[in-house]
Amino acid sequence: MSRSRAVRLLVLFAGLALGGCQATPDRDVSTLHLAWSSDPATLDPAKVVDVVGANAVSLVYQGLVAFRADGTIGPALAARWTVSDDGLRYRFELDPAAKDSAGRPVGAADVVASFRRLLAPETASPRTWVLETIEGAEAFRRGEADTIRGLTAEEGVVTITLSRPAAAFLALLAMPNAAVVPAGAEPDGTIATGPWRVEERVRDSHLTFARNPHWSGPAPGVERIAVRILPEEFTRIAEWETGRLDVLEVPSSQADRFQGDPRLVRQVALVTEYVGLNTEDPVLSDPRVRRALNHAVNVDRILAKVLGGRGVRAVGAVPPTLPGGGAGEPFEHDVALARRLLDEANVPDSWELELWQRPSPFASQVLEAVQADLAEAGIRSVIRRRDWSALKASIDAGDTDAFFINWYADYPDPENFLVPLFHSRNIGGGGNRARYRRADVDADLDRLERTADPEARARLAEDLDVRIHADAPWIYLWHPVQESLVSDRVDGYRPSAVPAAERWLDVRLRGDGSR
Amino acid sequence: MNRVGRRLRADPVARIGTVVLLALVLAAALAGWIAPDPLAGSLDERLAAPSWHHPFGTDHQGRDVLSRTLYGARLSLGIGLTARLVSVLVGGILGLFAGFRGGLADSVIMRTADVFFAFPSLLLLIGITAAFEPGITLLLVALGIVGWAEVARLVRSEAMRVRESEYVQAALALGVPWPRILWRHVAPNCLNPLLVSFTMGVATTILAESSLSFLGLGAQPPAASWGAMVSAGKDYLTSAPWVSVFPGLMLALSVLSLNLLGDAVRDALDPRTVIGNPGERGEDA
Amino acid sequence: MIGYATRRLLLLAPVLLGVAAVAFVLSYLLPGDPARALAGERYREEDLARIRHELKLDRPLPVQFGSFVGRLVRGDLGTSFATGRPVAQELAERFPRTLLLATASMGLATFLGIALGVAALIARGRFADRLSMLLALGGISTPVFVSAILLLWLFALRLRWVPPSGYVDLDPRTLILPAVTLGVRSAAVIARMTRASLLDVLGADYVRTSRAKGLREGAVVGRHALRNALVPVITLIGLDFGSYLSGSVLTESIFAWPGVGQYALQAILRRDFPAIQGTVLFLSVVFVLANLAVDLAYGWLDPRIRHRLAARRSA
Repeated sequence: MSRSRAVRLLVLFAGLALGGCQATPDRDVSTLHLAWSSDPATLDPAKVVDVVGANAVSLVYQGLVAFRADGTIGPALAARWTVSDDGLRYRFELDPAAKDSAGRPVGAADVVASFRRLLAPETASPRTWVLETIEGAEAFRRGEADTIRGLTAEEGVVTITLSRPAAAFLALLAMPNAAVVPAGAEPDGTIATGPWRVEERVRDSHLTFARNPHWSGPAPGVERIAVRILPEEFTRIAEWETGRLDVLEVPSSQADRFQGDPRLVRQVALVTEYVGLNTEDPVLSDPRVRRALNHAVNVDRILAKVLGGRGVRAVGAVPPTLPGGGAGEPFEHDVALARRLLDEANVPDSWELELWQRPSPFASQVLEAVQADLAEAGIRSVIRRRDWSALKASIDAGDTDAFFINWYADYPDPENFLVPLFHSRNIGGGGNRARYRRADVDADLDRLERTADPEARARLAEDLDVRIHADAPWIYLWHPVQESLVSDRVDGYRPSAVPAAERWLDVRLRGDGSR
Repeated sequence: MNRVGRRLRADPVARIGTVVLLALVLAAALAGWIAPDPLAGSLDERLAAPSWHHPFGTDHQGRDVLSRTLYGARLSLGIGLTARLVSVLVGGILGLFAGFRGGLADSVIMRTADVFFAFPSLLLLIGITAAFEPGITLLLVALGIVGWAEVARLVRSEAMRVRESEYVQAALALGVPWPRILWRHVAPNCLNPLLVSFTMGVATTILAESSLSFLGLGAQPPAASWGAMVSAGKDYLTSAPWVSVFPGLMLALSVLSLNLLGDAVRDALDPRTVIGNPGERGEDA
Repeated sequence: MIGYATRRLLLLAPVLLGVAAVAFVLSYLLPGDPARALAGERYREEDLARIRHELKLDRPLPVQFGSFVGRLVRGDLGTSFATGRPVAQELAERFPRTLLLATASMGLATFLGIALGVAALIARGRFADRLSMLLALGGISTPVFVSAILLLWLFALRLRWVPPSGYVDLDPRTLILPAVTLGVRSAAVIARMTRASLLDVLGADYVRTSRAKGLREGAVVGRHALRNALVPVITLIGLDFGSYLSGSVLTESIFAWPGVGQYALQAILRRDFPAIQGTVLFLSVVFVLANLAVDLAYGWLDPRIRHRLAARRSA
């Protein structure tokens, strides 16, 4: 927080000369002010794939069930539900009071219409996998059937039959993609089923959400949420500093200056950051090389210096806050061991590792530090920067050796950090970007998907996570700590486990807290 | 050329510009001897304030900002000069040809120039740099392409003027082959506006590169142009201003001195024009 | 003059076809594909293929180009891949904001630039002249993103005179910082031009005459020289205005100004082909028309130029 004296003098001088007229934001206790880094391209549940979009969709639409702030699953359109013993049949009794923001009842037919829309071939949704386990969903998606066999609606009841047991099915239903849009309404949030509706939208500028007056849940503590779209970190900070935002996620580059700020709220995010290694690459296919890379990188030091300690070292893919997570043994920083492993693997001296990243200053800092550590172990590397669209295409096509990337939880379940990331059927765009392929792991991952008993599930997840970690398909980095600044006038803020859980239902504003 | 030299000596402001520019070029050339390794850094020395050991402080990787700034001079000035040279060569040759030959060649070349002139240049730059393997060569080509149309227009009108002159007409009438006339008589007469356009354009090109770097599309790390350094340092502006302030200062200083020099060159060589520095398309540089 | 304008407008067609072709080729050269950008981080290959099909990206390139040009001829800029809205509508929402920013910037720049240029000229040769011209050069030499960040930091963050960012429908004062950022740069260029052009005109005979009649320097400059000297200045203003109309990517994103510049950048990053092509085309038209307007104004202001325009026509 040190400012140079000259600057302070200059400011003092300018302030004396011209002072007085300060710009003060208007403060009213009915509106919560937030900032997002980008404008959600769409609010259509069938199309939304990004974090900001998930956030927005969860405000205006809800599905049969919804995430609570802590990540557990609670009722939404469905007041209660039962699951058959074999885990294949789900029966949802809808809340008879559920209405959309135009005051029209939301019933079983709306649920079926939304699910059909997600799966319909002409919708071309990228998220059909959310409902893929429903019986007959695949045939319907391919256009081979007119109806989804496992999905039936009666008065006030939706029944779903799965083609195979999926322990995480309820979590999938809580995802924004399974949210329900009133049949016949435009999926733009103006006629909402969730706690909020879009009141005003100026693209790239701001979005105002007002309470949905007909929402059957308890009324939110504020009347409005005003969201500004602020792409530059520097601008977001300026808006916060001038008292125009009530909650701000602290950009990592700014974390130092807010340390010790009493308004800081932190939590370990359900996010894993890693350097993925292409296990199909001739050199990287040797687990000794991959382990050597893990031993060569001084993760603790990068974590301490680049992230200022704001992260928990990853000893597996599953974050420690989830069942089965955090059980692996960290790779010790051991340059000699790394060199030895490389020798054993007969890695040619000319070998050069390409490290790919998106052009963000943070990613550059991490990879430049990784590069320096690798150099110390005699591993030559080059950094390649591509914008996100180009980078993702290269990674998904398997054209990249190593890439710095992260994984955000879709739902708070260890399965979400294992099946998409390491099952061979998900190689490429499915999430398995290390192109990891092991038959025994695949079989156990299948078993994990089916296992409903929480304890057995946690044990299985832990065993898988530890085994895969030892095989080192990634350079395991960390689970970042997310820090939010929450202004004094905000009451009842709790960080959410997943973006879809952040619905601002319990937040209230105090009139006297204005700065 | 002597006129330029006289002008530079006579005008104190131009003199200052030249001295500053020479100092920067010298620093860039000698960076290898006078500055420590711009890539060597220790995270333990991250964001250290300016001190005797690190006169400009250190950046987020603990690297010496002074030595990175000096090496940055190489990259920024080098890119500016070379890319502009590309523009001037391509635009110059095409413009000469179009202006001298006229007819179909003229139409084709000038309509193409119109297309590039009308195309929003920063978008063209972003597009080109995003489309191909990022790197210095790509930057040079991209920045070069963006500038050629303007040069071509300039040179074409000059070439047309020279073509109408009596001695060129006489040479044509005598049956002297046109490439020879072009080379011997027309080209030398177009040299002055080319030189002016070159000096003026270098500054614009350096600014354009810095805009690209600001968007992460310029020089690739760990190498750093000034623009890339300012961009990486902007997030520390309030906590460690030295990371971006020094390269930013150098950037402004070098562009400033190039503009001063450009003014002097123009005043000396091209007294007919009163145009200041109209800048180019894409003022967001 | 009308004939000249018509001819220029006719020439616009091939230029725009060229721009369209370059924009088309460039968007397809961009690595990564729009379908993947829409598919997010977890998708199935069949869904990707389905998205490609729906976006008609699975057709041969010549066919895609043909239907693109066909649409253009009908005046249809297409539908954005990312938002599913017509590109024309997206531009219609954003362009007025860019227009507002450009107008404010140029208004400020015109006033400041001419005032500074005249002041420097009156004090020519003296310290004040050199200082103001050096300041003007400094304005030209500072990258826009640097001055934007400095202005934001000083006036919004430290002094708190104006809000840091936003668009006028949130707070009219949000216009000030981005307008100053762009305006200062143009003001610097205009000031230099005004001074140089005045200097040129002051050498002319009729000015010498009025001086000989014993008019004060200020009156000479004000009454006689300025009007004539402003002709090239106005050209310059028009050119800068034209270029601001194509959106100032960096200024807009730093001040969260939702104009066409930001939109264009996002379109590129999202690989939103119709948005890229539509925006490029629209901006090119705006730029060419602005240039034409400048040329016409030039001729109108200075009859001598009309002849030169006529000469250029043959070129």
